[in-house]
Amino acid sequence: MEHTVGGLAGFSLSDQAALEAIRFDEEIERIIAPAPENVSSFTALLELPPAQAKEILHSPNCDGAAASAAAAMVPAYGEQSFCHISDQRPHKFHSFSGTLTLPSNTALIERAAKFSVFAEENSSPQEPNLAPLSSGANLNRVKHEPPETDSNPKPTSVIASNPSIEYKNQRATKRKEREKKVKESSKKRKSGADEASGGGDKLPYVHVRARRGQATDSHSLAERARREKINARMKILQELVPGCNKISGTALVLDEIINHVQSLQSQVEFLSMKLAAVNPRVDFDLDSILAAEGASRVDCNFPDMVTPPVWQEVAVNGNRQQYQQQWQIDAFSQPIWVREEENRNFMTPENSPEL
Amino acid sequence: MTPIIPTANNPASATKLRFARRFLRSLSKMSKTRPSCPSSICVKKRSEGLKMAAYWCMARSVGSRRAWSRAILMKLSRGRQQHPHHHNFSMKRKIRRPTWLGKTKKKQKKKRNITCSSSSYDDEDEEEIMKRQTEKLREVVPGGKLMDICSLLEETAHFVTCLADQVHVMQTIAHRYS
Repeated sequence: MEHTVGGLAGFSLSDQAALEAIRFDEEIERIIAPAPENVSSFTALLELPPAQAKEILHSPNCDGAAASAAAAMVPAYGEQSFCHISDQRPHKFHSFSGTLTLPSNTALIERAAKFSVFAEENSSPQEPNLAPLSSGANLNRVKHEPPETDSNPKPTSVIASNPSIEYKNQRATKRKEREKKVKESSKKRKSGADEASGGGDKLPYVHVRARRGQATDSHSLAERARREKINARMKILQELVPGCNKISGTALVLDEIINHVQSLQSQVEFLSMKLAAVNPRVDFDLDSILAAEGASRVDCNFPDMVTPPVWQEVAVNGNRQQYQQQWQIDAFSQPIWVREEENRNFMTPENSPEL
Repeated sequence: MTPIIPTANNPASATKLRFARRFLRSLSKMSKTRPSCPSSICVKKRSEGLKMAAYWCMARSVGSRRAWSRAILMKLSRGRQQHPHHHNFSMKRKIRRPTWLGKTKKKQKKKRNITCSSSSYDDEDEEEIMKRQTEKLREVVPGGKLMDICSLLEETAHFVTCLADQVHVMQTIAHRYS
């Protein structure tokens, strides 16, 4: 809060105060990065000028008095001023424009430009994002501001209407250009974080990094991140499906993937038909199948196989509880496996009484 | 001879092992309860039941981790609730099959024809083609209709790997007993 007082001190007309203001500005930038609560302080700050600016500007001699008055006023405003912003904004700006004609100090004009830009942007619904605008570049590095680019033309147009602060427009636009370039690095961070999070969680603030030469509009950024996610998943699918690596173009790849899935499903159907035809045989011995799949077989300890092991299946549905006398071996409990032929000889006399 | 390692290091093959085990269990159950008749109708019914059993076993092996496995389990359990039978999966032929399994084949054919005809205008209809293909993908992948494109692609990838495992296991079994 104290630093916002320092920012307000920039309204004083002396150069010393202006330098102080610039110094405070940097401090504010540092603070703004992690602290979104400065919103209220800045809006309080903005609230302050209409009431105090006239005082300050009309009494250019008492800089210290203005600073102290500002210091006194700012804590008093606090959070309450925030709600008054929308009401007082129009005439606040008028008071701005009115008072701006008075001073000839470049620093003050610059400050006023920043705050007018800030005032204009305060009109947007997402004020918390836009609050620390006096340091536009640093802000954009940290927070993703959807209406910022929307409001960019607005303040420039409004400021341009006032001829006395025309060159502030230039400064503002230059600042925006710098912001864009600074923002370049943040986009990749967003897409990286997005990929890492798996896309499931939504953060309140999305840290974005725009690539060079690309639009920094919030919608396009989100769209780009989404597209990158989709492209990454498509790449994974391309690697999975055989023959998709050579194909270029999303539509053909998707086509190929769909065909592959359908072919797999038809293979399942065909195999189930085959197994149904084959099925008269009763003894589906696990170990032989698993051995064929790659699990190695072991000489069994034959006396162990005489007593059928306990059925350890979790009863998912009532159907299975009927089959408690199954001979099935649980691989986790018994790592020793019977040889195929021995098992079969063992199985047929075992199963026949059950039939 | 080395003892079998119960849990594979690669989780994919662990699912495959689980699926193999479950599928074999269900196969033996089916063979026990249903008398094996050589008639074609019987074989057809059994094959449908086997198909259901295969998908159910795969979904159980994967568990609730994946949206598509959850979708399969929900659909099959809902079907089972509608027709409470205390027999094995071969009775599931009476249950309304989930759309992604077989009923939409005609629909898919029709849509495929439309896609082929419109592919000539791919400059204009690129968006349309993409939409149609994602629709097809949603039909093919279980539970796809409720997901956005990102998760749909992810689920498709996992589904493809599991389907490949399933086919491999079934091929091994069929080869073993043919």
